[in-house]
Amino acid sequence: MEVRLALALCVVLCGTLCGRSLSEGTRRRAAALRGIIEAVRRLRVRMTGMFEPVQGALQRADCPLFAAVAEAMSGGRSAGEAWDGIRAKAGRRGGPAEFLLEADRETLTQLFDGLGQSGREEQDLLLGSALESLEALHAAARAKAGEADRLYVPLGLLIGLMLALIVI
Amino acid sequence: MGILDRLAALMPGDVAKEMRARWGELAEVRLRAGRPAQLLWTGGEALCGGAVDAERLRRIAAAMMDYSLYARESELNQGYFTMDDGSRVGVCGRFARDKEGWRLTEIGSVCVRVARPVSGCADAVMEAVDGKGGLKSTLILSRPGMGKTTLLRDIARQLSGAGRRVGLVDERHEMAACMRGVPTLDVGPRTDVMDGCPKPLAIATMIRAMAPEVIVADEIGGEGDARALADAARCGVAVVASAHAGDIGQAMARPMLRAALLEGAFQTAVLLGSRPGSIREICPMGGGGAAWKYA
Repeated sequence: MEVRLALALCVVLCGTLCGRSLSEGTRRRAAALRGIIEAVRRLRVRMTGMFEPVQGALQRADCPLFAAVAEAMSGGRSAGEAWDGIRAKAGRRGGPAEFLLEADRETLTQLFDGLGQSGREEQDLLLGSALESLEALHAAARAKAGEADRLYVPLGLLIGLMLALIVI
Repeated sequence: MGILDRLAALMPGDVAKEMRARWGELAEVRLRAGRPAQLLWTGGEALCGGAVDAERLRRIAAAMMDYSLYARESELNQGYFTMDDGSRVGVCGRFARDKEGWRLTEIGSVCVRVARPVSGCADAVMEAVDGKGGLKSTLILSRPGMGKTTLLRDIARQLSGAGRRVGLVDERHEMAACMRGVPTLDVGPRTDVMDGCPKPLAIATMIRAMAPEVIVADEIGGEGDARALADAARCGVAVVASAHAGDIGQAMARPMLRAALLEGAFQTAVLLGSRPGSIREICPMGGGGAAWKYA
């Protein structure tokens, strides 16, 4: 009897964890967007406040995705061309853009395409506009992550309990 | 990547090939929208390749600025920017006026002046600058493109190597070609560099903070320069500077230079010749001493 109870408990736990892992992707997307937003803020200070060139500013923005773009600029490419070159690879498993959706990547494309291509005032507007778009995406991602947690975790728990009843 | 490789990578294939063939003597590369590229070297020039279209020119200029136009905006609005290696790129095009002044809005042509340090080119003038009588404030005069900056750089290097504390005022980033404040060209082991700072502010700050024995500055003649130089002289700091003028008479015709000359800011003048790097005459200013003449 104790063995069955222990097994039932494991089944319930597994069900709950499965539910949680289903919502993990949405949570990681929200976290990734948060990181990018902070990096864009740092980029704005370095570029429009300290007049640091794009490649160096991207390298020092403390963001793996931006560092990857900076490295891709080393062949004499603009930020937009560099992002275009690494976009697909960055979105794969283990890449710095793994958890980003197409809408997120499109916002980044608009940012990188314009980075460094105009004067200080226009760059400030570009970075400000990118921050607004990213904040909106982040807010939506957080809401979705909350919904996913509220849906999948209890669902996983419920399925776990049902299976546990069968075991018992 | 060296400057040749970097420039050649940006150019159309036939222009890049010609550049590599003439690299040892190449002085300028000029690109004009809708026209062939022009290469200039000592004693010659040539048009090469097909017409460079406006979009290609814009991309080349953007690449030369490391795709960071905003970081070069104040220079661009004065019609130039400086590459990382110290090569100055003159820019022509369409200007428009906004609330902050004149802005370059479209690039029509660029002129890359290849920075080429020439170690030892100042040998002939060092006795006049820092000889038996000690340091003498020296003014180097020539028309554009005759090697004033190259000469100044070597003077700074040699003075620094001889034990002098040198303050280098590099407002246009050409003499030391600093990267994040650190010189990439050899300006001597005892040289402090103020990079990108207006000359009056740089000279005053250096005197206060770095106690230089000599200040080296390129292209004086702007507002405030004369006063700053006179202040330096009153503080016992020698100045070695350059200015655009064919001779002392032409220098005196420029109000700001005239003010500096009349205040006795300089004790020696070096007049460059009609070939890049040639020295026409070294003469004392303010009376006395022998003048050395060169062909």
